[in-house]
Amino acid sequence: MKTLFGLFLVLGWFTMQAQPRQLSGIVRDKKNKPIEQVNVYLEGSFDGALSDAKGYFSFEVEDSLVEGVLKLKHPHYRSLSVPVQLKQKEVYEVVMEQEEDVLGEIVIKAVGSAKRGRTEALAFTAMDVVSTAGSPGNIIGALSTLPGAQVNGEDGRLLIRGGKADESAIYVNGNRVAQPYTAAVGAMPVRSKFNPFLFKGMSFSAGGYSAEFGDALSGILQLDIAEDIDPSRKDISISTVGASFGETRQWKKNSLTYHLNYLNLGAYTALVKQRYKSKKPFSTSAGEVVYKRAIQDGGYVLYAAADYTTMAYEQTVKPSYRVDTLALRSNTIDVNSLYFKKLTPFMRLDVGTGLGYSDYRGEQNGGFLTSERWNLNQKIKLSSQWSGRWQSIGGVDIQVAQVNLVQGMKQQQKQDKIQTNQFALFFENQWRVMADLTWRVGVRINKANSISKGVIEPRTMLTYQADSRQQISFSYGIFHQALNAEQMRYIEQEDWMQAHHYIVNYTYTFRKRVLRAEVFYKDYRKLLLNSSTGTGAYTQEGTGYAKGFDLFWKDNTTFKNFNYWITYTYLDSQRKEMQRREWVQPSYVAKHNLAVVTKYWIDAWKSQWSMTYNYSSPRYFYGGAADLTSSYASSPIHNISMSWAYVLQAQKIVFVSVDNLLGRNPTYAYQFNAKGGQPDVVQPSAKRFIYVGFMWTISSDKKANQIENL
Amino acid sequence: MKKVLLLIFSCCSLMSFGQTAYEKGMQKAMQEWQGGNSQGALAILERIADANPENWIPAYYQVFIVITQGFQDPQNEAVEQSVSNNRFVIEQWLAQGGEEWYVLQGMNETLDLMTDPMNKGMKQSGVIIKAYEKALELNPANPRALFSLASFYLNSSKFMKVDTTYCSNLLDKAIEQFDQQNSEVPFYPKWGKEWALKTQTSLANQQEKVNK
Repeated sequence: MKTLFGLFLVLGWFTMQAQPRQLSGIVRDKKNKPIEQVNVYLEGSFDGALSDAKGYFSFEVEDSLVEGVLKLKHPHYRSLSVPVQLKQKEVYEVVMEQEEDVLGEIVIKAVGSAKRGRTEALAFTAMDVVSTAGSPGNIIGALSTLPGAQVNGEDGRLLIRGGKADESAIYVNGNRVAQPYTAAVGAMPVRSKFNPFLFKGMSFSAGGYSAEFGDALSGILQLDIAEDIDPSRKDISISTVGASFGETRQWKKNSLTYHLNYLNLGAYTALVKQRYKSKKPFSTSAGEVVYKRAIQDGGYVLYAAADYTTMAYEQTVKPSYRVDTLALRSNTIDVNSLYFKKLTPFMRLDVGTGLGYSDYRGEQNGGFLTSERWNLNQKIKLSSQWSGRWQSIGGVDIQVAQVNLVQGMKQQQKQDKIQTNQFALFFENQWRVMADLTWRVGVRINKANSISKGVIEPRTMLTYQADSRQQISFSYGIFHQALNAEQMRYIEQEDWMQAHHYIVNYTYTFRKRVLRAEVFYKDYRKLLLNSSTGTGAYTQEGTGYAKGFDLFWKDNTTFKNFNYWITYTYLDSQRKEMQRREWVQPSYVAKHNLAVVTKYWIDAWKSQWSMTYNYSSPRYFYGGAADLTSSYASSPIHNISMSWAYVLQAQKIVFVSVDNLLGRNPTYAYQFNAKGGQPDVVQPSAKRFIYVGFMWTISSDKKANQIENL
Repeated sequence: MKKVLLLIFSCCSLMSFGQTAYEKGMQKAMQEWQGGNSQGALAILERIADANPENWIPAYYQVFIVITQGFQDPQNEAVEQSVSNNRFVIEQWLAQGGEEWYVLQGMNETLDLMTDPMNKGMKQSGVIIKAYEKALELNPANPRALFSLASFYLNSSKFMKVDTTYCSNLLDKAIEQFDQQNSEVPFYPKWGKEWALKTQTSLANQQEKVNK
């Protein structure tokens, strides 16, 4: 009887359930446009519907239900829960708010997924660096093919939009690096010191950058070491100029990577004729260590690098036929640590510490310069996501540098000991005003021990996402820079040098193709200028400007296995600075810069061919201080580089690269002699540079024991 | 007699009522998916996951469906976004879900590789192999992990000198294990056997060609 009663109850419930009613409605966004593919259902029930192209949805609900919560979900919109009274109403109109991110927003969701607001910046990867012909492994070399960047053949350092090399700053994990380049003496180009494979991402901003960074008038380059723990592996590489060995070990939640590198140009320069006579070939011994540890909701990354470089050579410069003897010895140590932790799901703390030491001695024709330098920086940053539309960062940045410089000949010496301290506070908000409009506004306050007054730097950027493909942004900011220690030997600084940036950017992305156009204007004030009194004293009345535009097109999809990008930068820049009391285009500025980078993967040959073409228009050099009538133009640069990477087998790669394939012999720059007369020319040290290398990666191989486990 | 029949009937019907709403929902999702309506299946799974926040099965199928969709057209510009969404979900379940989620991680990273093999090949292969090996570490007999690892090695044979006996051993082992899987968890992942048999046949054909 009981069973029967039970059955009756069950059947009764069944029949009650069997009278469904329709619940329907329409989903729209704030602009009254229907939203398709919204998942609409009643909380707790699995029946529901996806809205159609008109935003319409309809599904059956049990008649017995009196009230419930209607849930609406869509990947690009904020999820909604709407309490509903089913008896009263059966048709609903719902408005959903867009949650579509503007490119590169700070999202503090989990460790390692914190993106920074880098709409203004261009991102690139280690593969971009190593597979770009003409820049084997040199980050700065690859950068020179990106918009806004220029690298001159005789110098090798990064120039951003008419700025000098020391107007751009390089950061590793948010900490400024004091010595990002290899040591050099005389007119010898430098390279980036960093191994590109250490970094998961590199991003380059040619201006209008975030308030988090400062003391750089032109732009910044950010290098980020991946926070994830690396799997174990070994890397071996042998090349015509040296050898390197690296190993990564992973245990529990730690990984340790070390990388040893020895480079010696001796054998190469003996085989391939160079323009200089080597007395002691260029050699570097370097070591890098990266230690990472994952902790609860955070992690720790330590990067330490040390290198020792020596070189001595003789070079006859033309046309004066003067013989220059040059030598250098340099020792540097860099330590960079980052601790980060998610304090709450929406708040992240970053504590970064950087320590740098360098000991350098350069000799040129009997004169010498030694410098001993200490750098310390400490940065504390707090990022917070207050809501889906509003996030902030704030923090403190302290930079301390001490430099001991001795310059002179044998008998007479000049010694200077300079200490600079800088202190900065920064605070920045990113606010989504409307679904398609984002406003970033920040401020940085700087104080330096050498300058009595502090400065406030407002920075702002407005980004409008016209549709899913197009984005327009405008940025403005004030940027200050103090003199570096070397300059402070001669000049007592009264005020900060200043630059105002105005940038309009348009980005169009379409099926993995990017078109980026940027118009910029940069206004320099308070630069150093020789005073008109002729006493040799400096004032800060110097001014300058840089204006122009750049175009960037990158396409990875149109042609199968073929990637390419094209960059063109037009730059018009003049300054009244230092000895030049007249408007003059600085000698490091090239008006037109064009780069075409191509990479082609040939399946049948298991190899990648890359070719890079660089063009720079001539630069102009002026002799005496006041003499602007006789200018010397450097050669236009046409450089074609090629590289070929062949995958031999399981992670064994043979790599061949030729820089300056055409063997052109451009005049990069001019050196003016104290006596006057025809200046000497600076040319590349050899017509071509050929690099042949073999790389072998051994992953942790568990094959052998794995098969036994089965 | 009538009573007995009624009793049996009621027992049967009780049994069918005994199928929980969860199971019904999952079944519906699977039907939709097999019927080619992935979007519909994903929507149902999303509702189930929402109501069962402690259960990894619905989330597993959500990610699995998105990945297999991605394999159809890896060059689609939406795929990279899906990969990073998947990563976020996978990360959340790795600790609880165990080896099946590591298999999913390996597949998701393979999908990422397929979006740009030229640039991502070098870095991704290490990550992918590591994910499958981690799955095997947790359960050396997981057929999906065995098969996925073998299949990844075979697909990269273009660039690597692959030891095919090792791969075919993995495959044989996988196929053997596919027949032995019996999980009490309803809707525990079971896929892969047909796929593995297909791979085995094509590997055998390939070898025959080589031998000729």
